[in-house]
Amino acid sequence: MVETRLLEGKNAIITGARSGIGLATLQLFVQNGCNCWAVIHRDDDVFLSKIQQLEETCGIWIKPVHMELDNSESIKEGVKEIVKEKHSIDILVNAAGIVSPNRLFSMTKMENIRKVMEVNFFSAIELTQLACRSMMRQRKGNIVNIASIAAWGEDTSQMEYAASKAALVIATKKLARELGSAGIRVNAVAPGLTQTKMLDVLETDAEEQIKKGLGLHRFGTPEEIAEVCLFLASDKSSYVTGETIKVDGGGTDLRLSISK
Amino acid sequence: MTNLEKYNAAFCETLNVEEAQLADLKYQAIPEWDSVGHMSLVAAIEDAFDIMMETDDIIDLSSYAKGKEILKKYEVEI
Repeated sequence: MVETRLLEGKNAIITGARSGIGLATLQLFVQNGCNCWAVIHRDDDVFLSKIQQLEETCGIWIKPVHMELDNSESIKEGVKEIVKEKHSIDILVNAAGIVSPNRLFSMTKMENIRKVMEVNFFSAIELTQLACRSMMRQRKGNIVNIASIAAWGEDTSQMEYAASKAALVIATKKLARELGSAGIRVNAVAPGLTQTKMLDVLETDAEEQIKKGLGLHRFGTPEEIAEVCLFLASDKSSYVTGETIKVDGGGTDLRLSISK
Repeated sequence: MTNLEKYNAAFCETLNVEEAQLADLKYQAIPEWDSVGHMSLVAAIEDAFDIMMETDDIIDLSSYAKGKEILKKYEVEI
């Protein structure tokens, strides 16, 4: 438990909350006194018992909300469920993200490209549009998008993933300009290579080679990314908006890594 | 509270206007009903009637009178 709970009494929607950066963010937010709607696409016993334990330890509530993020109707239904509860929506963290199974553009089906854009970009935008209505009424709110250093296009594969994250970076900037007058801040975190399931595609040899190219010679952890999300979601960053913060351990030459 | 009272309250509270001004009120006719005020108004109407408006309807909500028409789609009679 932390000494000063930075999000005491706030309510947050967190997508991709079942694993990786989303889960780490959920854990850190609740430890900081934040009630959370955990957006997931399916339940599992491990996750449900984890959130029950967090609720008991942290004295907050966590409610799983089911959404298929590549389906607009499912997103709307999920948000309706949230809005009906009549709690304020103070924070939205768009952490859900997928990669397509193939690495090279010429080997990637259009349906996979569309799905990556739907989940990584359009779902975040749709959720933002829906959550904003409540935030505008409150005249305050906070949106944190999980982008990626892939948005800068330094590596030679995963075009659709990089494009979806680049779209999120520019959307962050544009939305911050539009929503600022309503007291809503919009920021993004761009993680570098982080120890999540997304890295399972790397072979061990490649992994070691990449780490040597990183400033800090190691991958980031989801918890380290979550700390920056917490900063952006809290009043500690009250004059920061439209910003994308790279959290990439000093950067790397990704051309070493993902082009095989 | 009747539906009309709820509808009027959403406008009066959000846009800071008197009931007497409502009948002819149009989007952007007063400084309070700008784009930010518009979204706050939508949130207030959604809240009052437990609905979630489609984006097309949010765009169409160009006046106090038009809003009444739109709400019929959501089975709200005013």
